[in-house]
Amino acid sequence: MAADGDSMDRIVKIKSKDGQIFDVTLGTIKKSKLIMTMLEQLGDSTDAIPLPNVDGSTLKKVIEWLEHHKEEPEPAEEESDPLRMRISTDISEWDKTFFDVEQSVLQAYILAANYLSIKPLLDIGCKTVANMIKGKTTEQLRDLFGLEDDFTDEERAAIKREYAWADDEENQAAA
Amino acid sequence: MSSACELRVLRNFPFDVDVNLQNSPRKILFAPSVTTPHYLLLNLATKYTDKFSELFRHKHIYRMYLITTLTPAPVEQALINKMLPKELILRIFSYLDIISLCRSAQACHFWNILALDGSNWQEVDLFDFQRDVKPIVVENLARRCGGFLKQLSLKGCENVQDSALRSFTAKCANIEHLSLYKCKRVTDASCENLGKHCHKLRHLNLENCSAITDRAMKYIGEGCPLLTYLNISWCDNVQDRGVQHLLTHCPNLETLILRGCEGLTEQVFAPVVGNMGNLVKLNMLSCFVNDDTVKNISEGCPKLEYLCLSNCSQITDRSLNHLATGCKNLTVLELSGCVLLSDGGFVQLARACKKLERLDLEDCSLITDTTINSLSVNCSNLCQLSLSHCELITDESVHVLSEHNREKLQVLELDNCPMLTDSALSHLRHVRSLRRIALYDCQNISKEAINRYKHQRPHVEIQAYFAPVTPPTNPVTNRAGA
Repeated sequence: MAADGDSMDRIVKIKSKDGQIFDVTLGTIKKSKLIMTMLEQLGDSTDAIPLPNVDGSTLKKVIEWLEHHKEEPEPAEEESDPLRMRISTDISEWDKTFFDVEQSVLQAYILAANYLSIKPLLDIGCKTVANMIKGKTTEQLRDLFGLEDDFTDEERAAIKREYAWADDEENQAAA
Repeated sequence: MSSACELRVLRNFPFDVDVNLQNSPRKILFAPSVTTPHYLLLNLATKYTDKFSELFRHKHIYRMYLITTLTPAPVEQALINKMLPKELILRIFSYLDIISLCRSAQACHFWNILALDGSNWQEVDLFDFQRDVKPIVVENLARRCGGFLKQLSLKGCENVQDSALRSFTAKCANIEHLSLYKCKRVTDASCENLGKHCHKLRHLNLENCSAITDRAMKYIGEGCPLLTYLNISWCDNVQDRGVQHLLTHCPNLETLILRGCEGLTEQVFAPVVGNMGNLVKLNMLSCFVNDDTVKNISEGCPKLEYLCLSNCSQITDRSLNHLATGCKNLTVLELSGCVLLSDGGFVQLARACKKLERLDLEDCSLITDTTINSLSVNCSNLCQLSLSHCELITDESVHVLSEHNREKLQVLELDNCPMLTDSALSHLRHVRSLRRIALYDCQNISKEAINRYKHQRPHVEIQAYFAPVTPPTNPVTNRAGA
């Protein structure tokens, strides 16, 4: 936004929860709205920006993601999306590999993207989880995400009745 | 995952245990050696009551149920619900289709609440479930989506009737886009409720809701002033007054689809010529239309870009002259089966409507190369042209098209044009933009010519009867005597 060409090479220091300090260029980190806002407030200070909500190993991966995507333009900010398309298949191979990790790690990426306000990373993370949900039965979802069936018998019966129409298509993978 | 913490507890237990985790991780079989005095066991059980909710004996097996509030072991996998805040799970759900949402809603209480959050239900399409959609589904949906719902398709849900839609319209007053295509049980009463509650409606499809009448048009016209799209095809109980009422009250109407509305007369637009100025698309397939109707359209709709008058077989060249005068923005014109139209009208039309891109002249059997010549010269954007059954068309037409439209023409339908010969195909070789040519029953075009063309332009789809596969001995190649 405000930054011009050569200032993109400026080095910014960021510090993870566990005290690790990373040097990144402004061009790499600019997709993080949080850090851009903090930089504005800090002015010329060269102190490391503390990020108390992100641990070092997650932050390292987030920087790797930013580095790989730094040439990509910021997606247009139109979307207050009232009618967002429910498309979750538009994930590049590189990103698929990047997000092919343990569930807890994936969730840590999503949390970090949310905290650092990196919308494209947050979107891909959420789409990845959505893709894990799609096509699964309720039972498979419970197993996969460690959810507990905490319905009473009556509730369960009522829910079953209400969704009979959707589950008739059991064999047809969710479109 | 949870088995880890259970094992940890058991290790503190002072005797041999047989742990069976096969059935359920929450159930643990506890089998002390037979020598263990029962009273000792009971003592221990009492001592550990904070760890076990229940202990009972069956033969020599003691079954214990763990209290679920045990502190989790550090190795336990993070549960998504603990890890991610509600907003992020909602964000994930925003990418789910309705089947996945319904399955997620059945997983646990927390997911039930989130999956049914109205923000996930802004657009709902029940087309895939049409047979199974009972009125109760629509009512539940309405309760769940409430004001969030903006777009709903009940296409083909024939079981849906007025009563279901009554509660729906009252609860989902913010709906903007509604398809009731083929919901045959829908009547004027539903339209009355739409008009009463859903003032933001912009897009309404009532195709094949054949029970509706002029009253439906009145309610919608008065209640939905923002309407831009209306489809009442095959609703043959709607008459002139209904359409007139609608046009008068919905000044923003851009698209009006009236296919097969046999209740309308040729005078349908006469009293409302001044109220249809925003129409961009109009479809009157198989309606009772004559030259006067087209005159009204041309006077009232200067913005018209799409017009279908196919099967309006009464219209003559006068209609084309009217369109040439009033509808110069036409890009799509469908005139299939308008058998009275001839060169005189089309020459006028081509000179005036230079933006034409798609033109369907199937069965306009009076037209000759003169029409095609005029279209080629004037309408440089022409990309789709159907001349099926235009029996007077010759190779000359194809020649001029190939000359003038070689960068634009994509689809050319020439089936049943018996005068065309192989040289038509050699002209078409130069049309680089072509994607499809229909050549069914062009008896003077040989299979060899088609194969040659296919060889030269392999990416163009050719529709013809004789198959292109290795043709060595085929006795019926020459159909001259047929």
